[in-house]
Amino acid sequence: MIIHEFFMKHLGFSETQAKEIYFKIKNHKFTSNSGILRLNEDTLLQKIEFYKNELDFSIEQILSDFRLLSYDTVSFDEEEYENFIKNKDLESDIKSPTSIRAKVKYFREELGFENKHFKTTMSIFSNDIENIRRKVKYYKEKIGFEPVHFRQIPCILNYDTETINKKLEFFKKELGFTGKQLRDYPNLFSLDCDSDKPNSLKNKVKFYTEEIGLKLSQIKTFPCLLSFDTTSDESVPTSIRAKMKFFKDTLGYTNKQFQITPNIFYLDCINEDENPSSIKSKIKFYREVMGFENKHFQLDPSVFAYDTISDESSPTSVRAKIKFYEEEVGIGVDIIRENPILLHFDIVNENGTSVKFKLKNLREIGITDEDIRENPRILSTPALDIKDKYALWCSIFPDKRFMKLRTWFMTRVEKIYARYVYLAEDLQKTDIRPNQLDFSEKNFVSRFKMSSDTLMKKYPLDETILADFYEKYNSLGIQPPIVQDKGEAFGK
Amino acid sequence: MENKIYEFFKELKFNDGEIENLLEIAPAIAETSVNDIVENMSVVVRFGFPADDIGSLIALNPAFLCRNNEDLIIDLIELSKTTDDIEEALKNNPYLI
Repeated sequence: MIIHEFFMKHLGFSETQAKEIYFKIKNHKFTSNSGILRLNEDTLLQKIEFYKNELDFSIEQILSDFRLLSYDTVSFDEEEYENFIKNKDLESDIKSPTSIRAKVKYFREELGFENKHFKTTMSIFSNDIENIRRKVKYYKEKIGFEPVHFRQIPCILNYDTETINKKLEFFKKELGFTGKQLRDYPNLFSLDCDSDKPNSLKNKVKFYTEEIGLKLSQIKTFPCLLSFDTTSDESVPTSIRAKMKFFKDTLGYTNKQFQITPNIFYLDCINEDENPSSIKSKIKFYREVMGFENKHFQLDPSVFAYDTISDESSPTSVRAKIKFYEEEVGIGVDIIRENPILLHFDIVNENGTSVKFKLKNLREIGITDEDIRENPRILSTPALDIKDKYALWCSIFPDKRFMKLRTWFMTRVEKIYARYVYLAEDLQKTDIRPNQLDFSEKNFVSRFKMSSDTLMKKYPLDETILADFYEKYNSLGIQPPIVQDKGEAFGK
Repeated sequence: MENKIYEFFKELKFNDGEIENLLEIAPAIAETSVNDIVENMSVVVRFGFPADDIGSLIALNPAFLCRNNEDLIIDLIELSKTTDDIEEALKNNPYLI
């Protein structure tokens, strides 16, 4: 019979600690009737040694779940196990092996478990193998889970199929999650979905939609949001409320920034500057290297997703992009921080998403690097759109004075044309200024007493007319700029 | 992403790469219905931004398409208190919403 001296003699605990352990086992709801304390010392020692040697559990881990000491850690009938495993019929009468050794073998061989997986969820040993097989089959059929998913979140094997089904229904019907999303984030199944507990999925969704104003589509795009603590207050550093407070106090963020970039909550707001991937470290980088103020962080919260750690040799790093814009176009950090969208573009490839492609496109139609420096937002304009607009503007204003307008490329080409014809022909104006064609609708109507919609119907821009403008534009000889030596070009 | 959203952006003269870009800047667009996108666009238009030019606003700030509609309206109401020309304000600073 085990008494508290066992824990002192064999495990090195003090008398007080040993007595505490003894009474915990004696009074524990799972172990009080299990006979652990009626074992002889050798048997209990053997169990402890098994968990230590076979599964690399520490004493603290073993004693954190006393049920481990109640399981049979000795028996193992290889033949019985093999017969059971070979038989795929879950309804058969073949007995499920009950020993821990058999369970460990099953988890290792069938699901690829390593010791670390057992440590995260020791309670899985309370299931018998037959039950586990049923659940594995169920998850596989319903969601397409493979062994890798069970390794990621072993505790899901503790749920009964009714519970799993309820969660699955919630994910699919309430949130519209696909099978793929559930496979990408299996830990969602560890969350409580249909109860009224503060930490239930239902209440988390309510928190995000009502307190922050996220849409369900955004929660669906960022399912990890559901695994965060939405109930604790700001005093708990890992809670969403603490993160919100951090962003509000440090950067002046409102719900708008959280709605634009919900995955900002994924970031580590706790660790100090020494951790280069922490948000504090990123804020420091942007402030020190790029002169960011709060207003710049507010423009585009997704800057926190960029790589601020790697040096220039990594083409996806912010440092590499800063260097690229400086060398390729003469755009400095002062311009980038007012237009953080520039940090988003790929600087390596030459496909439609890359800035190289955009630059090539713009240069081919005659837009100079100086033009781009003056108005870097041109880089964001759809490629198909800018060509027509530029040709039309250049035809009307060959001296390119329209380039002084910050927004010339944001107005629809049909509108520019219709307004031009109206001013030139109906109003007989000989001194049309670029800003008049680019007036806001309110200003144009106020000034010229005519709506653009009416004009566009009266003077539609068709392919023939556009072709005429292209002919005129081509005749202007607006060529792509001669590529100078970069040093000369930037006065270095 | 709904095919309709893809076609919708094509009509605004975005090419495939640019649509991909929009999704990288605002990934939630892929999970937003065309109805929700159109609803947010309609709100901006109702406050005075020309429907014809909405493509250029989206190119610079696609994230507003995924915002909570009511909050977007609140922001536009606040903006309209500071200016009577929403088109001019947003063309000069697309990030106001």
